[in-house]
Amino acid sequence: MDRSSPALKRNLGLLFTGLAIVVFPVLIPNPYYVNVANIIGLNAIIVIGLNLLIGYAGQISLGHAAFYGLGAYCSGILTVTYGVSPWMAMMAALVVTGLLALLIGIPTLKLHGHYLVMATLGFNLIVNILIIQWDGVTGGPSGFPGIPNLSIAGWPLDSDRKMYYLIWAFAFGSLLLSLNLVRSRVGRGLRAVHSSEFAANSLGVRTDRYKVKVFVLSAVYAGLAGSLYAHYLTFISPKTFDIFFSVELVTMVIVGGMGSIWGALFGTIFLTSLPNVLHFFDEYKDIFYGLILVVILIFVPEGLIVAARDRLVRNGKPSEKGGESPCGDFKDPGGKVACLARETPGAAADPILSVRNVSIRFGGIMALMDVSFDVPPGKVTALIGPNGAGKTTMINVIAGNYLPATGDISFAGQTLSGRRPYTMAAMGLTRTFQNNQIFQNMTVLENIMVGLHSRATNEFMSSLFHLPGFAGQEREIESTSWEVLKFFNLETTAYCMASSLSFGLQKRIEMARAFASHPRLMLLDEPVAGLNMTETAETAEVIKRIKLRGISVLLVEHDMNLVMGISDKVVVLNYGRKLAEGHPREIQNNAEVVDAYLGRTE
Amino acid sequence: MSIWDQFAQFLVSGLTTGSIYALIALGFCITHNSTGIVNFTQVDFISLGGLVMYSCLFGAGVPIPAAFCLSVLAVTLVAAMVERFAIRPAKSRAVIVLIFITIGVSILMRGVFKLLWGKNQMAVPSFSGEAPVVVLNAAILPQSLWIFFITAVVVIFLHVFFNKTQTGKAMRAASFNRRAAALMGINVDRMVLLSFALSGALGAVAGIIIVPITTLSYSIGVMLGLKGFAAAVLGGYGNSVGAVLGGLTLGVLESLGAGMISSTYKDVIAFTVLLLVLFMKPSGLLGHGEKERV
Amino acid sequence: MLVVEQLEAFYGGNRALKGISLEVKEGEIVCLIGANGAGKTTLLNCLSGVHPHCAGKLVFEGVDISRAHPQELVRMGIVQVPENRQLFGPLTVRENLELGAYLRYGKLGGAGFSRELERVIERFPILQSRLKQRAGTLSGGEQQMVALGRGLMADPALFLLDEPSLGLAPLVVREIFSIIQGLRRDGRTILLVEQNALGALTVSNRAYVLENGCVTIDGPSDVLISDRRVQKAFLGQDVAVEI
Repeated sequence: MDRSSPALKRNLGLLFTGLAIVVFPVLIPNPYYVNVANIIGLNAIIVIGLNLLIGYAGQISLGHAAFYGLGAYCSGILTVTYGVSPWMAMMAALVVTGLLALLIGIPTLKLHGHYLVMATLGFNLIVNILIIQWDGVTGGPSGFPGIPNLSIAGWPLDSDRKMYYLIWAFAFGSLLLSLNLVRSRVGRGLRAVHSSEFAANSLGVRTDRYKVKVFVLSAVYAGLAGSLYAHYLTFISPKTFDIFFSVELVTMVIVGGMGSIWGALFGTIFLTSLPNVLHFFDEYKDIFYGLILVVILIFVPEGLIVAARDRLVRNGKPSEKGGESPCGDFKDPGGKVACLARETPGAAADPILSVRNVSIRFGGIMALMDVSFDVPPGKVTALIGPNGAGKTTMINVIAGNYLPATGDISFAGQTLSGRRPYTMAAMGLTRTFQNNQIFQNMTVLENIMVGLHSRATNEFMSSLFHLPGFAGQEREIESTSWEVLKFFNLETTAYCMASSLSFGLQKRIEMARAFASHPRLMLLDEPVAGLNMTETAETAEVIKRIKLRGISVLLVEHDMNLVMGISDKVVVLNYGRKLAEGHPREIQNNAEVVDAYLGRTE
Repeated sequence: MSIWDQFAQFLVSGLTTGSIYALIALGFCITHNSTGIVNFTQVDFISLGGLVMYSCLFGAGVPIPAAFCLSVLAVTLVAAMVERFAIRPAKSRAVIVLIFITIGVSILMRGVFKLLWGKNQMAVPSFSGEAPVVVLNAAILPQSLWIFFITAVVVIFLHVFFNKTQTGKAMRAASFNRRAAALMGINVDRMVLLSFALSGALGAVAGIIIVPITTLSYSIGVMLGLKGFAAAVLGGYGNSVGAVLGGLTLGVLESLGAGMISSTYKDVIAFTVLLLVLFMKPSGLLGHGEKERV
Repeated sequence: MLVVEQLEAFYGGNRALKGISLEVKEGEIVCLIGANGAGKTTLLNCLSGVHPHCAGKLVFEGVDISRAHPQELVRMGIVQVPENRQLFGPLTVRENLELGAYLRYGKLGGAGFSRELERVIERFPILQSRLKQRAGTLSGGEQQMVALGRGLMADPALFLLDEPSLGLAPLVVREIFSIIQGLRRDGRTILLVEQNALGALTVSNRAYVLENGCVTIDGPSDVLISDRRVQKAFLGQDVAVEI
């Protein structure tokens, strides 16, 4: 498949979908089937939003039926009991669902783990019970009738056909918006959050906020669908909005493939039409559903559409020597575009990073004890020491993942202590991780583009609606990323999925990603661990070239050849304390250091 | 009836349902500790216990004690099969995927139950009659006494099992560190299977002893199970003492709330508690605080 | 006792072991030294059957164990004390030790079991007062002793020790190595993996140096201990200091 024009494929897909939508009721005018199509359309609106949450942000909600129901009941109650106009009621429904999602999302999404599942489950149960019991307002279990139709310019939408076009216009719209969102800085940020929150944070993605925003967005989609539902069927009852429906919604996402918007559409069409069209499944509907879900999840956990897509498009490995690229032709946008501006470090001898008296304890152990050292600007400094000496802990303290018990760290004159990890990239501090935290679910090019997250500003609104300024920023991000790819000799792999590449390449990509924003200091945590001799030598060259660009490097390593070969300064840690600091030659000849490494104890 | 008598009455009924929640919460706890997932089929183990009991009593005329044992055994077997045929063969070990597999199996099982036992509610007799016993001005159903007794026996059994037997200790070890347990020669897969079987037994017992009071249907376990889950979270998800504590607490809170505030919104109480716990102290009553781990 | 031929293993996307061959004779202590990331733990995990991607020939006392399950290996007497102790934190010290003999429980019976436990506690007297404490609350050195004791409870024929000195203070390290020497005097066969080269070379008969997944040097420990190449392997080229 030609991967060089994803935009073209997408537009073709939209065109085809649009045509299908317009043509369907003409080809199949039977009102029964139009009704089914309407339900599919409503479900599609919810599921596309839910897919953003599950597939892109990696959070599961078992409560979207409640948002659907809230949208419906809001519209119903406001129009019937309070005489509000249907369109106003719809607006109100969107606000209500958004606010409630915010209320649930903020406390639960800041935790790691699957608390959102539990919270949304509880939320759905509560809403359902309240709808049933509060019968004075909601009509209780027998339902709420008499909801007026929506009208456009005085023309009431009172037939299946008329509502079909409105519903599917909204469905198409949500499809479009979601596709917009996914192919944007925010969309990449979301996928990054799904793949590795730590790496995303280190590149400036505010993971907490993103998770909440996408949850609210998905809830609003559901609220919209609920409102449309109410004005379409003019009668609503609580049974439609129970947790079983929430489960069905998630099933639709999973069957198509989490993380694929087209997959969400497919899953919805498939699972909504099936029981409707094949009546005799009614008795066995649950068994059928359960079986499908179980079989797909056991054998094709990535979802049907995603599995099919992966089989059609081969993600090859690039050949060792470069040359042809099995991941598809790459399109060099050509022309030189300036890197997004960055100040060059001052010529002064002031250290770029100053660590002063840092101590931290884990459990009963002092992992770091009163460690102080400087990192000179524009040079490569190595942090070495035997296993367990505290090197990675030091990196994590600098990067803001741990809070030191005492001590202070200043970076380019500003203090780092107490800062959260996601502020680092904007300040010019990036890092790589000891255990490969590359974004497996994205292409190499996209990985680099996330590296530039802190250098751009377009957010949710801009991404959804492609507001002015969006396209310009995206272009700059992309062309700067190509520059970075060239610097690291990675152009041929640009469109390859990161997960399909070799370990050595993945490490290089991670370094390229950290480099992309032209930071002032890069923290490299064991950049050559697990690499063979050739790859190690290549990495050494790359680090030298990074240094030539004026970027300071602090690296943690075990490979002594590498360390001695490229460092300007070496700091040695042992048992959490600084043992020595100086020029590599001095360190090699330092008897204490040799002892520490070979294990001689007093 | 004075306010204290009312209170005592609510307390008794709260502890009764609370015992059930405790058993269910323990079931969730055990599978969570061994696999890291929330096993949604737990709710169906509850229903199945009651359903098989019903069939034993009315379909085959088996006396109550034998029916009890048969039912527990049957559900234990089903639970083991769920692990063996739905969980273990899964290609992806991601928690999200496994949770949804359990949801799928749960839907499947309920569909089968509906087919085999119908949609209607069924009545199951109490173990030893309906006449309430009066203790300190509170009327206690004999079934409640059975529930207290059996729950206590089960909890003691579990304590002995996990703390005094080699298999129990091996299960705790495997839950904590799979690889190290394998290095001891512990068959980790078998421990996981055992954990499912055990949680199935717990669910079955819970279902069997409560349906004489609540009546039986193919989906009776769903609401009970979800509340049991809320109890597990309240007590500290993954903590077995917390499960028991959470269960009893939730039962009493629910009963008091229904009796003293409003009985129409009784079911809301359990899930409001769940949400409050998640918002304020997600680690529950007995859990340790969440630490930021890198 | 143990013969390893052309062992290859993958870790992540990477070839961690590229064709290792070594052997361990009965009653020896053989040590495997090398820097971090050299593949030492992967090797032990292959021997214990807990690493999923191993290829090559492993023969133990004449029996081919290349495809054996972890339980079988423990039953045959191949017992590993894993890197970083990996005790069962929430369980007590006593329970941890008991689980070491998990597979022997049936044969030993209650009385035999208690006797084994006492023998192990004799060797690590400091644990006597810690039996009822949760294993996760002990100090590093004490945890290492529990880990060693837990391994001994399985009555190992081949004892695999993965970096027993890791993260421990120098004094404690000395104690651990003297315990290992005590085990050697008892006649146990040990394969010791270490980053602490000096300590390992001092207590062992023979040594293999592992670099980047390959054995680069091997020989008797007393010879290797003063070999320049060994020093180079740890500190890079051009080391000028005399050991």
